Amino acid sequence: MAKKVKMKGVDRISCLPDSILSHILSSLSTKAAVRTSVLSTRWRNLFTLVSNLNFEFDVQHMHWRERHKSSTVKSFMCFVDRVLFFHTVNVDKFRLECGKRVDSDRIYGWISAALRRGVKHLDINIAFDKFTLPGALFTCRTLVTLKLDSGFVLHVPKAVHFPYLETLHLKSVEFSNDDSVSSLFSCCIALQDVVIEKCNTENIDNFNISHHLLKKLTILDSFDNSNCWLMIDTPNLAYFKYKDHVAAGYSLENLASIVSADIQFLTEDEDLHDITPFFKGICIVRSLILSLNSLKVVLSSLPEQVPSCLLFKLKAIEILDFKEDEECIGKAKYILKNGGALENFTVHTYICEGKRLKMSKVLLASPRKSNHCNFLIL
Amino acid sequence: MASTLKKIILKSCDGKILEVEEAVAVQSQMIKNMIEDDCANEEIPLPDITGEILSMIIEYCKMHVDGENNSNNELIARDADFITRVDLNTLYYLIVAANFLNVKSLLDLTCQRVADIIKGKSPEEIRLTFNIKNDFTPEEEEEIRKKNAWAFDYKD
Repeated sequence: MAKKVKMKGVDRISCLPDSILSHILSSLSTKAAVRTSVLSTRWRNLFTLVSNLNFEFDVQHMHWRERHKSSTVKSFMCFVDRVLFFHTVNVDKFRLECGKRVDSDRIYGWISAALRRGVKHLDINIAFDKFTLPGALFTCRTLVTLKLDSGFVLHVPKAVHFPYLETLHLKSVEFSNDDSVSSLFSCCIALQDVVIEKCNTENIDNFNISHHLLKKLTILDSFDNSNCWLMIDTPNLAYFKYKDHVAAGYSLENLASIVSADIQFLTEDEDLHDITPFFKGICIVRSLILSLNSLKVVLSSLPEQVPSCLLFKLKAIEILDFKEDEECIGKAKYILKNGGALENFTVHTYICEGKRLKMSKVLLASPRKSNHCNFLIL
Repeated sequence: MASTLKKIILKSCDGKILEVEEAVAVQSQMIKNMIEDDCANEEIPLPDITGEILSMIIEYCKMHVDGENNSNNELIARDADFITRVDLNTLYYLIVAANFLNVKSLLDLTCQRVADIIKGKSPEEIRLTFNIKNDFTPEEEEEIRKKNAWAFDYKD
C-alpha cells in the first residue's frame, strides 16, 4: 500500500519514448506543443519531432490594438521560422492561416519547407490578393489533401502529377486559363472529393472537370460571369452540389453513378435561361434537393409526358424556400401525382403558421402516385 | 470456421493467463505477426504488462471486433467511454502496452487522451498534473519563453 501511494507522485509521462511523446504533441496545436518545451529538459526539443504543424495568426481572439502592432506580426513570423528551422521529421499535416500583413516571401518559404518534408495534407488560407504558389507544389508526389483558400493564382503547368491526391478544395482561387483547369484534373489520378468555392473563372471559357474516379463534387458561387461553360464528365460521381449562378452553358455527361444532387441556382428568375442540359445530365438521380429557383426551371412548364426520371427513379426530393403561391403548389402537386418511386417529399418554408396549415391541407389531399410517400413540411 | 475459434494464450508479467480468441488477439499487430510466423502456438509471455492492463486491452480489442458493423459514431462514443474511465497511472501503462503490442487504434486513443489533458493548461498546470519536475534554472526557462514569445504571449 505504502508503495502505491509513493508511486502516485512519480513522473511517468516523461519516461515515455520520444516516438510516443511526439505522437501526443502532434495532436496539439503547434503553439501548445512548443509551450511544452518549457516543462523540463526532457521536453525541451520534443516539438521538433511533431508530424502535424499548424500555424494560425489568430487575430480574432486578439485586441485590435494588439493585432495591428507590427511586433505581433513579427512575433508570429519569428515563431514559424524557428519551428520550421528546428523541425527534423516528415510533415503529415501542414496548416497555415494568416493575413496579408505577413511577409509573402516568408509564406512562400514556409510552404516550400512543408513540401520538402513530404507533406500529405496541405491546408493554406492566406488573405492575399494574388499569390503565386511555389513551383515545387506541382511536383510534390506525397499530397493526399490540398486545400487552398484566398488569393492564389493557379497556373498549373502541363507536366504535373499528383498520384495520391484525393481531396482538393479550392476557395477564392483564380484560374489562369482553360489548360490549367483541365491539367489539374487530369494530373490527379486518385481524386475523390472536389470543392470549388468562390473561385474566379473570369479567364476561363470552358471549365472542364473530366475524371473517372471522382465521387463528390461541390461547386459554390464561382460562375457569376456568364462567359464560362461548365463541362462535367465523371462516370463515378455519386454526390453533386451546385449552389451557383447560371453558367454560359452546360455539358454534363456520363453521370451514370449519381445518387444525390443538391441544386440551387442563385440567379433571379428572369435570368434563368435554358438549363435543360444541366438537368438532363443528372436525370437518374435518386435523391434531389432543389431551391425554389431550380424547381421553377426544372418544371418551367408541367409536361404532359412525365419525365421518366420522376416516374421511376426519384425517391427523395426536398424543396427549399417553398412559397404558398399557386405556381409552387401546382408544381408540388405535379411531383406528388407523378412521382412513382417517391418515398420522401420535404418542403422547407418560412411562411406563417396559418398559411402553412392551409398549404399542408391542400398538399396532403392531393393525389399521389406512390402509396408509400412521406410528406413533410419544415 | 476453425481458425476463428482458435485461442491464443497470453501470460501477463504477474503470472495471469488469459485465453483470447484469435480474431481479438490479431488486433495487436505484434501478435498477428507472431501467428503468421507460427510462433503463437504456446503461451505468449508479455513482460511489463500486468494482468489488469492486459484485461483492459483485451476488453478494448473485443469491443472493436464486436463493433465492426457498428457505425463510426457509435465506436467513437464507446472509445470515449472506455478512455475517460481510466486514471492517469493506468493511462500510462495502457500507452506502454498498446505501443508494445502495437494496437494502433488504442495507441492513437490513449495519446489523444493525454493531449486532451494537456490542452488548455499552462506549463505550471501540466507539470502539476503529471508530476513533471522543472529542472531548468529560472534564467533558462525565461530564455525559452522569450525565444518562443508567440506561443507564450498570445494564447490560443
